[in-house]
Amino acid sequence: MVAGQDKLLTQMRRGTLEYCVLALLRDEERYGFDLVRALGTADGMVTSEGTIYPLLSRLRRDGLVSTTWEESPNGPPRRYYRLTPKGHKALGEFVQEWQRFRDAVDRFVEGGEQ
Amino acid sequence: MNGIRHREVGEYLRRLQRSMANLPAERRQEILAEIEEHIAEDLAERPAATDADVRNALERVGDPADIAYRFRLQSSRNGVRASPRARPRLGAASRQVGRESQTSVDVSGPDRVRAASCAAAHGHHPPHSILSSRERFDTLPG
Repeated sequence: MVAGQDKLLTQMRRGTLEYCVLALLRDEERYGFDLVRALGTADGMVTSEGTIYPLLSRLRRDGLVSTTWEESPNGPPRRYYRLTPKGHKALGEFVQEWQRFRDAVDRFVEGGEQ
Repeated sequence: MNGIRHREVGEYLRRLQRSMANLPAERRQEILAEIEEHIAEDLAERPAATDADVRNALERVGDPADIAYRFRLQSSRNGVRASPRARPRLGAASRQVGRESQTSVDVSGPDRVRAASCAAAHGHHPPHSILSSRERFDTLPG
């Protein structure tokens, strides 16, 4: 990937990554490694896996996610993240705005007479 | 969890701890513990992990300076002040990229410098050795 594309992706990711995290927690709780791996299945969503943890910490501090410790089958207990009602609300608002925004951008970039 | 005792993992975690040294202690410990657990989970899937596997796992986790930088950005949201050490550097970085609006400069300034200075060098998977991270950290903005 050339530098310009990388920068573009960085900028787009910056505004959307936290909502992808919230969306992954919409229906189930997950622990950090599981969450990072799920994000990693989408090309370009995670560059440094470790940078997700400061984001998770901030989401927790903002009350969008809560955490609980649960036993793991092998090894130490895991910290599980789940959406709070506030997190559900923030995600819902983003999804609405995102759909409108995505449609608007698509109208232009997909070409044709506007 | 044998992998966590690997020497390079220990060195990596110490480097991460140092790079986050001036950030809020409670959250720093939380992030450090989470990343330590992340590495352990990763290596647990590879019971016969070679040195190269360990290095690859650490490269995926990322440059400690990068993680500390993200931490700083997240901490500077919602009115939590960035560390004193970070502030002059943020200012210097924003001057390098020219004038920007007051509201966006703290977040986008250093990131743009980083993107410009680092993206060309490594893109998604930095080819640089983890061992060179310390030198890189000392020269990075933020």
